[in-house]
Amino acid sequence: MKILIVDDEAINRTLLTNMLYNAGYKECIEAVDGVEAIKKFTHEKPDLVLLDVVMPGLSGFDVAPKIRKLAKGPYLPILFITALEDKESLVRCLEVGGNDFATKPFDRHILIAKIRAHLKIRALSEHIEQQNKALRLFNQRVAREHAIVEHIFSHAIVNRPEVMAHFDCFLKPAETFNGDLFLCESSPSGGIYFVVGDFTGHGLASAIGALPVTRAFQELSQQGVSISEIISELNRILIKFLPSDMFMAAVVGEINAGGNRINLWQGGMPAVIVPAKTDLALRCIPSRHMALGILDEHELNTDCDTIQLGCNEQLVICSDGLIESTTQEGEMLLEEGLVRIVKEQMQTHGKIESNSLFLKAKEHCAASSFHDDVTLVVFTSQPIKTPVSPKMDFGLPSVHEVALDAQHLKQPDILQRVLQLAGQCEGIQAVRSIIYTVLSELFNNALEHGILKLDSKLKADSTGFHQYYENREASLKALSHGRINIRIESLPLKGKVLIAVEDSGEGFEWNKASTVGRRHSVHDESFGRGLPLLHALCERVWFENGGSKVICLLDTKI
Amino acid sequence: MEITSSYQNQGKVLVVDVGTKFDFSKVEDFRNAYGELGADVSHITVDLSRTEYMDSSALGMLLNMQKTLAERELTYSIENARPQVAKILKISRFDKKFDIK
Repeated sequence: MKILIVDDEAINRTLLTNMLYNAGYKECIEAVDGVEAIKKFTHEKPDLVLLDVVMPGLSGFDVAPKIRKLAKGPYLPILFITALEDKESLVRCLEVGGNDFATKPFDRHILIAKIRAHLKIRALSEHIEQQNKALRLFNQRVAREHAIVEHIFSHAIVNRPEVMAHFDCFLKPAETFNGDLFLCESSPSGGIYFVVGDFTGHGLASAIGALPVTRAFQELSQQGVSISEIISELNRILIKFLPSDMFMAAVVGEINAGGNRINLWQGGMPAVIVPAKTDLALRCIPSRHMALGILDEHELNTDCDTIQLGCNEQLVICSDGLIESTTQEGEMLLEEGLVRIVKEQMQTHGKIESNSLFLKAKEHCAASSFHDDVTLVVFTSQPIKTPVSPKMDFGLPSVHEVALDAQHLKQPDILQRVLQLAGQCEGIQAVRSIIYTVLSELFNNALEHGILKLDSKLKADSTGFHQYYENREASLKALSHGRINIRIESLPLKGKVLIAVEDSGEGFEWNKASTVGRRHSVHDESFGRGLPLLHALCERVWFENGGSKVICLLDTKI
Repeated sequence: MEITSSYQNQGKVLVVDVGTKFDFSKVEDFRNAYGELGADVSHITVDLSRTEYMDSSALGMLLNMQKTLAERELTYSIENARPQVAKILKISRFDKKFDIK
C-alpha cells in the first residue's frame, strides 16, 4: 500500500513516515507542498493521502478537491492532518473532499486504525471495480451471443407469409427470446397445420427447444402426416432434447382445405374458444392432455378433438401468459375472465381481433408488462388458399426396389417398413395415404393369395372372417419359400407413381378375378373389394406374368 | 398405437378409436374392441381422426363387425376421417352401411 504524506514541516513528515513504517506501511512518499502533492499523486498513484491543512501556497482545502478530481478508479481515502480544532474547519475538511481527519497532536493508535479502516474500504472498492469490469465484459459477450442466436432464430423460425395470412396473431415476448411459439405450414392436401406452443419459463433457455420443434414440424407438414404422428414425433424430440424440468404445452391442429374443420390436440394449454355472443353458443374446448416432453411414448395419448366451424366462426387460441395476467390485488384473469372479454368483444364488434382482445385483457392487468410471454392466435373459418411448396413442384424422381424372401415376410412389421420406404418418395405427399392403401393392398394380395394361397371366400361369414386371419398367421409361420419383389417409382415431374408388386406364386386368372369383384357389387361382402378398390384409386392397373405381377399407375395430383 | 374403445352417453354409445394404421394387423384388436358389448349400447362410432390409411381388410373388418352384431339393433357411424381415408370409404360406398360424418 502506497501512502502519500503532504506536510510543509519536515519533522511532521518524518514522524508520520516512521509511524507508518512501524505499522507495516513501508511504501510512503512525501510532498512538501500542495503543488508537489498533486504532481506526486499523478505519478505515484498512492492508495491513501494524508494531507496537512495549513501550508504555504495551496492549502490542504485547495489540494483535496484537485486530487479528488484526478483520482480515477476505486475509492481514494484523503485524511486531513490538522492542528485546527474548531468545528467549521473540521466540517470543511469533509466538505472539500476529505474522508476523515486526525487532529494534531495525533494519537498513533487512532491514526493507524483510521488508515487501516479506509484502506480496507479501498480494497473492497477495488474488488467491486474488478467485478464490475468483469460484469461489463460478460454483458457485452452475452449481448453479442444473444444477437447471434436471435439472428439464427429469426431465420430458422419463419412462417411462410401466404400461410401466415390465414391467421390473426398477437405475439408478445416477456424477454427478447420467446418461450412461446407459433408455427404454421400448408398441408399437401390443401389445408394448414399449425402449432401454438409454450415452453416452461421464458427467455433463451426455453426458446432453445423451439429449433428442433420447428424443424420437425416443417418436415412432417410437408409429408402430410396425421396430427397424432406430429404429436408423437414432437414429444419424442422434446424428451430427447430438453432437460426433464422443461416441457412444451401446445395446441397442434390441422385445418382442412375448406377451412371449416379442425383436428385439434391440446396439451397443457388454456381452453381454446369458439366465440359467440351468448353463453349457450360459445364453445370452450379444454386441453385433454399433458404438455409435450413429459410422457414416454407408450404413455402419450394422441387423441384429437374435431371442431367444426360455421361460416365466419372463429377459433381463439391463447397461451397462459394472457390468462395469468393479474390485477394489483393479485387476481388472475383466468379462462372465465377471458371468456367474459370475448363475449363483450363479440357484442361490440361481432368478431374477435387479437390485438384488441389483448388490449382489453391488458386493462385488467395492473402492471404495465406481462410476466410471461403472451401469444394469441385467431383463425376465422375460410377456404385455405396456399400455393404448394416448390419441393412438391420439383421433387426428385426416385426408384425404391425391395426383394423380400420368406424370412422377411415373417417379420411382423414388414409392411410398415415397406410403406415407410414409399413415404420417402418426393412429390407424393398429396396422395400418401392412398399410396399406402394401394401398396398395402398389393402386398397383402401377393402374400395371402400368391404365396400363402388363402381363399378369400372363407371371409364370407363372421366366423370364417377370423378363421381366414388365423389361417394366414399359421401359414405364414410355416412358410419356408416365397419371394415378393416391390418396386416403387416416383416421377414427380409427371405427377405419377408406378408401383409394381411381383410374387413367386403361380399367378391367377386376373380377368376372371376382376369380374368376381364386380359381381359382389352388393357391397356388403367382407371380401373381394381389394381389386375394385385398386381400380378406383389408380389411373391404371394391369397384370403381367400370368397375374403374378401387378402394376399400378397413380396420379399424385389431386 | 393400439385400438382404444370407450363408452359415452351413459353407456349408449361405444366409440372405437382405431389409431394411426387401420389394416389387417388390427384384426384381433378391432374385434376385441366390440367383443363384450355393453347391453345399453345402441350406437357404435368408429373414430378415424388419427387414422392415416386403411386398406380393404379394414373395410372387411368394419362390415364383419356389422355382421357379427346383426342381431342387435345398432346404428353405426364412421367419424372424422381424413380426406384421403374418406376417399377410400367413398369409393367403397360405405355411406350405405355407415353414417359417415
